[in-house]
Amino acid sequence: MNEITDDVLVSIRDLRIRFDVRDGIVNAVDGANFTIRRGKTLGVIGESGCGKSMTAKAIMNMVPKPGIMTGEVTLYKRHVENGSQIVEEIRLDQLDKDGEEIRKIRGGTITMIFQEPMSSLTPVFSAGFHIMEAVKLHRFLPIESIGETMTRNIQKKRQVSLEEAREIAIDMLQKVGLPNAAQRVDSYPHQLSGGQRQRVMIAIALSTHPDLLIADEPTTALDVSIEAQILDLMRELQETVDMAILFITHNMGVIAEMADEMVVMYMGKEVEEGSVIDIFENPKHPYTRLLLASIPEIGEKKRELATIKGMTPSPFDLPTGCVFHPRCPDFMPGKCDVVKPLLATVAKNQNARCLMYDPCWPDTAEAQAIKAKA
Amino acid sequence: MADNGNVKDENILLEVKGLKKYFPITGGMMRKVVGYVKAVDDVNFFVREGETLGLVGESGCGKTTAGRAVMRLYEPTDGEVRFKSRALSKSGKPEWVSLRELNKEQLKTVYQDISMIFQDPIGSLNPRMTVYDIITEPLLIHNKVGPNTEEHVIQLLQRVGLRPEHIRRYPHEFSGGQRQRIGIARSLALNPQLIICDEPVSALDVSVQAQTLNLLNDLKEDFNLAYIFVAHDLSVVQHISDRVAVMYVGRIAEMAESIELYSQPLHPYTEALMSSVPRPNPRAKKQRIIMEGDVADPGNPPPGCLFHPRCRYVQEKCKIEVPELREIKPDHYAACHFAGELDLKGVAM
Amino acid sequence: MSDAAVIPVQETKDDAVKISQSYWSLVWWKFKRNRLAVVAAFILAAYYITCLIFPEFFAPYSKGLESDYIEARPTYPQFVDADGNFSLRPFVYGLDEEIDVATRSRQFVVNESVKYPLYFFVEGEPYKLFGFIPAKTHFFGTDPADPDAKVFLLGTDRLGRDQFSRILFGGRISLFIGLFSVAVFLFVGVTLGAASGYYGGATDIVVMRITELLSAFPQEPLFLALGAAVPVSWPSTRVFFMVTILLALIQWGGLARQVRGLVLSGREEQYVLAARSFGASDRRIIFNHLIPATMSHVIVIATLKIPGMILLETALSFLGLGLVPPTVSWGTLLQNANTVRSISAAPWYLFVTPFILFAILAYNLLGDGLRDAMDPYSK
Repeated sequence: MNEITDDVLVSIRDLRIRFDVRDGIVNAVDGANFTIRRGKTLGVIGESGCGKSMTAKAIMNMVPKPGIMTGEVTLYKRHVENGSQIVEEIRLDQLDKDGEEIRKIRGGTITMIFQEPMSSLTPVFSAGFHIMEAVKLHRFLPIESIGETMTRNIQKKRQVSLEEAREIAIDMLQKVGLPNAAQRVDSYPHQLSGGQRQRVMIAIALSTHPDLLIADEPTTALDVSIEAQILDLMRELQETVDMAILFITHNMGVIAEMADEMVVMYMGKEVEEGSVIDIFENPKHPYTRLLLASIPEIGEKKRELATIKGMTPSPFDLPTGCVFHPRCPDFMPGKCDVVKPLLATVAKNQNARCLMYDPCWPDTAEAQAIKAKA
Repeated sequence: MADNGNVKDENILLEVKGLKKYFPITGGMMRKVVGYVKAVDDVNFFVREGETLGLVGESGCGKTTAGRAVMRLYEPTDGEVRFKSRALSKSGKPEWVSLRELNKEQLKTVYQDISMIFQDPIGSLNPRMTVYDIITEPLLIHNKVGPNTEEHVIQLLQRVGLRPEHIRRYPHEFSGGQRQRIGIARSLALNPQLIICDEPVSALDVSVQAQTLNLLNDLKEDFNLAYIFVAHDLSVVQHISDRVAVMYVGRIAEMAESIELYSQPLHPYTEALMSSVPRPNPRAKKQRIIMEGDVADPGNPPPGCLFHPRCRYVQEKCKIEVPELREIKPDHYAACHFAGELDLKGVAM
Repeated sequence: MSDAAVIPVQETKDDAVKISQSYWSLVWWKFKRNRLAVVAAFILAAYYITCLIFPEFFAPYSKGLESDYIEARPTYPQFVDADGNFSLRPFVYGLDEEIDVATRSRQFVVNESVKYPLYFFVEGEPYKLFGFIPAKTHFFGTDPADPDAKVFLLGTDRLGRDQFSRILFGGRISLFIGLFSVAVFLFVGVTLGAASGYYGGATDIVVMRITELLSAFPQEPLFLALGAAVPVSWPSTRVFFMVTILLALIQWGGLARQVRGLVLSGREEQYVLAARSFGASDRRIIFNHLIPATMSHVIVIATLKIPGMILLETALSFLGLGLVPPTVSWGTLLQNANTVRSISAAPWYLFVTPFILFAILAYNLLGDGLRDAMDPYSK
């Protein structure tokens, strides 16, 4: 997943986020490498505290203080200029956090929806106002004359007017399936139900035609029936507007339905990545394997669920070697607790951070046995 | 109190009939009651000894309220709750009592037989008390603290997978899963017959959730416990329950043995709900029944069948007449006018 | 299950044996780091030891001992005499009475030829420690063998009584009033507030209406009226307790409202529901769960309330509405300084103010320190 090809939208290289707090240093994200492809959905899965939300914040260059971010986050932005397509490389991590440029990207090229749709909307503004504000800030209409429309050679753009913004808002609310959009455009957040608010959030996020939508647990606070509605809506919209989604969740079912590729995170580290089908059918990392086995599945009666022994370690006091070794069923004493594993290729387009697959690690009989078992 | 007229089964431990809990809506200057939220409206179910009854539904369906109303933590508006109590009987043999007719003192005695586990592993433990104080609180309340109490607490801790040295610690020193274990140990302190589990795993991480579910299953066998397992997650409920009751806006839509309910649902709501659950299988056909609109407002419910505005099989009758919970097949109840007539799809077992 | 928390909650390392930290030990740990508050705590400890517990020992004279020195100026301890001789033992000069011919007033001048050395732990006026242990030793004083030797660190009043001793004894009453009235204030405020919040309904409405009435009542005229209502014939101790209880009864409303709010939110906590599900009685829930949850709040309110009570007593007594002489309190001592004439003639009457000032300041600093410490999980 490392080569930069034409369909790469965002590439993250060696991303690290560190917090120096009173009780010590926390590596919230510790060396993340992945790529978000145009029009595809990348799922990031992990338990609480694994750094998945922080990764999303890093893409928006919104790491909260006193966090320190290192590594590369590159956005490959497509433009049409003079009739030909060019790709602009923008290093998001190097932009000024409060500068003009990043603010154009936030809410414009990259938008975000959150878990709690109530607190993400300002209670004193109507649903339509929120969309109109985003549209006015980030959407520009071409100034066209007759000659220009013939050649599609557009030089200048203008901001949308208030009436146009309102029309766009109603149109967007219709697209996200809000009934009576023309009236609902003036309703306030408290007049909407949880599912409707999340629809409004999606409408805001999509109104600026983003290249990437970051969805941070967008359905966790919703009921199953509403969750199904929202997931379906997101899939439909993605097909029509050609946008990439970074889908952050802890729910295996949701990620299986939504994502094309996925990244599994544990204690700030990427432990496995690959296509969703490969990982679900053939998980390589012991953590992924256990995680998949530990969820009760509807329509399948398991006598006993697999468990991961112990609990997540304190972020101030991470285990040596592989961070997962104290809980790992395939723990190799003297190896896993000493050597920090690197992300190794385990299959075509599938990488895992485990010594069993590390090419630098001699293929001992022991490792072979464990591999066979897996 | 030995009126067993309606109870078919010798093993029944708790029977709930026509349970109602209405919360008044007040308005205006004088706080006049302008209406009621029918949080629980005419709910009927029963729990057998040593059995887990899953109570599943979306938020606001009244599952939590029903659990609390059974224990009279919320005083029910109407209905009957009959329970085969061990603690209240003088003969030593369990005796049927009607919880709503008990006075305060008797009810307190019955609370030795019924206990609760709560959703929030942080909020349900008093942060100012040590683990020892938390677990012995039920014992203190029932004057059961003696010289062996500490030993008893240590045994409970070990049984739920904590260590004896944890006894003097405070809740904030534990992780979410461990806190939930403390809550479970507390609920076992009085050796109950029935535990009402109110969303006990919904605040936990996936791996911890599995540990907790396994623990609950083990304890059930060891102590011959019955659970009322209140949850919104259909896959968790399916995993842990022997029988499942699906609730929708204060009423039971369907109740049956777990595998039967999941594989052959008789109520359209159950069918749609199950098809809504995201399946951890990327190759599964992404085809499902989308329920339009939102869950009905219990303060302003639609006429007729509460589910009719979202039902794909809706008929004229559904908009007028409220369906009763009927036994369609042996031990399989559904509240739908057309239950048994519709061809509904379950999940493969 | 969001992992957005910037600072993860520290989890216990499973295998390490760690000393368990209770809430209060965390509070203590944080309080110790606030230097100003710790200093304030020491100052208050000093106040309570010297004024409340052992004023008989620390004061050279009893509060009622009259001498011939009427409104005499302070005699400050010296180490170097007029001739430049240094002595390690401090001494005070004697005082001579003079009549100012112009103003016809008596005043005292320092007579540098007479030196009275000061001794520590001297035998002096007999007193009863804690009211029953007979003792004679005073912390400091002049030679008990010399009847003329006197030490007035802060001067004397119209009856020739030692100001310093009287300030210490006055502190006993004033500081005690602070504590006692806050205790009454806490008892009434917490009980009614908790009952109001827990039971709701009619109890709540009645209690809340009373607090509103109290807060709407103009306080000064109320004190005037009540002060006038206290019979002159009452013994001073009864007046004293009247005043204390009065102070508390007028001010509990605010506390009751805050406790009610805390109890209302506490009642919704799941651990309260849990206790109820085990059959806990109302009493148990209120006393074991709800009130302890309000304690950190209440302690801070109480600490910040004590100086207010002390000031209120001082002000009332100064106006003649609270305590009246012969009861000695900081307020009644200040009464001496109620005219310009007396201040110009005997400015040492004002020496009581720094005592009040430092006590109040120390309480406020302590209260602030406690408030910050009570929230040990914050930064």
